[in-house]
Amino acid sequence: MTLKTFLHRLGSPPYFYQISKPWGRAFAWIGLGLILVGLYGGLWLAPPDYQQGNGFRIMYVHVPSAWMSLFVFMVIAVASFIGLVWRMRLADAVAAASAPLGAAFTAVALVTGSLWGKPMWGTYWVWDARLTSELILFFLYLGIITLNRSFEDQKTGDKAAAILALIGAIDVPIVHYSVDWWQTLHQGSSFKGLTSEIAPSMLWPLLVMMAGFMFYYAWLVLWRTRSEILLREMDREWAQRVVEP
Amino acid sequence: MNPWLFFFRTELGVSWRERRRVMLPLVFFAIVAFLFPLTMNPKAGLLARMAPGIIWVDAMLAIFLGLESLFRHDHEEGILEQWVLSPTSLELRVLFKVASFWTVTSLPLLLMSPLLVLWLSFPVQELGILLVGLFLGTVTLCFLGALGAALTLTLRQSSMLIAVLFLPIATPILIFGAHSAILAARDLDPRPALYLLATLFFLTVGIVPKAISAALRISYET
Amino acid sequence: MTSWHEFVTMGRFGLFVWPAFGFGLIVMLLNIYWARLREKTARREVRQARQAEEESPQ
Repeated sequence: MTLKTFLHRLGSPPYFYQISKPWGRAFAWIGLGLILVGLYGGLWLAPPDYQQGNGFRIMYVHVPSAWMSLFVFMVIAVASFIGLVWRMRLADAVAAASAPLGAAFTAVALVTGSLWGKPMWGTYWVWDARLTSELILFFLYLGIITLNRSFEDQKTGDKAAAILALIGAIDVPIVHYSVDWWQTLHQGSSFKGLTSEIAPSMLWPLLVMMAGFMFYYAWLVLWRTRSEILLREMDREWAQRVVEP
Repeated sequence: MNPWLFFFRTELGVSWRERRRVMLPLVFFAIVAFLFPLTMNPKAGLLARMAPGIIWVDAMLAIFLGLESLFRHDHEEGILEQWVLSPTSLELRVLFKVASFWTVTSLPLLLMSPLLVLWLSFPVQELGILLVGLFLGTVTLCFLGALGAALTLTLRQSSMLIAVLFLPIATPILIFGAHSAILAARDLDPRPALYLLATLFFLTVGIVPKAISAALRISYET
Repeated sequence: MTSWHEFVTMGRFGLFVWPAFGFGLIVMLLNIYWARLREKTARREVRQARQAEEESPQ
């Protein structure tokens, strides 16, 4: 099977529904393994930071979540584009499945960033550039989720959310830049996560955690996409066959 | 007369017939600005420092107030459906529609902002900078808000949803806009902020009418 | 880490490190729960669509 025919078949909902299950299961176990290794490396093996002591360990959950919050938005934007231009239903389903996961990652990034801020800045919330743009990203996610589920006709909801996601994808870098600009103007307590070059013994658990989060997301997005496809194809014969035991 | 100019004038006429809709945001704009000195220490120094932020947030809220009804009437009367089906460019129609929306809702706000400048003891000599910023910003905000209104066209009670869609996307405009006035008030060069605001202005006017048209189209498809 | 005590207290940062990881864990578990819930909804709706089809007169 060449790559092209594989992708073509993957676009067909029944085929995707069938093969995504074993893949999802594999991703789940790989993700769990990586996260456990990453936690062991980050919480036990890595030495304390010479400036931040053990407080820097929040990084091992904060940085992967923040990275995932942006990565998932990128996935939504690409899927929305494919869904709008080529009217591929699977892409709509992927976008709809990703939005709640992205919002969850954003929430984790916000709360852990705030908990990291308390010992570093002495207060839970500072209008730091990164926290502020993460907060705006969170509102964008909420908008996409609500818009997608507001319409009686799911197709309308998918298209409306896709347009918002594409405008949002243009907006996110602008938001980030504007918040950065505003920060430098007021010379607030800009928070540099780790000032010096990060030591390898601290870096590898972070990379492992990030990979683990990616697999965790891949597992859940496949799972959720299966549900979203069912909701979009409920009149089809294959969907009804799948549901019956 | 040029057909597009005619279209613009008809749109203005339609809005003018519902004068109450024009007056209300204006009154709202004044009341909100008037509440700030009452709810905080009205020392001139503090007020002057907060003035750009108050005026900008206030202007954004006043624009937001009119968004829900922006396309509602045309939608219910079937005019929008004709637009979508007609061969003339929907993007251009949207552009003129939003331009007329700006003329009836935001232009009065701009004309009234000198009053707010006095109330909030913002330095009067910087009024010009404030107005240039407000012009660029309110046009951009009108387009972004119109996108929110178009996306929620067929929904009932859409104003809360419009707020969730519109406000986060509007933040960069508010940041650059308010800071052009802040820089001017501090006797610093406001041009960087104004240039950034102008960039967003052109970017928005270039891209967003297309997105609004696409959003209007999906309501009549499927 | 040199001791269990240091691990639990995280120097003086235990009050921040553990809630951060705890919140992360809770949200990650909630994600799984929500995915399950969504699947149940989807299956229920498909079943309802089928019933509606069977009941409708041919």
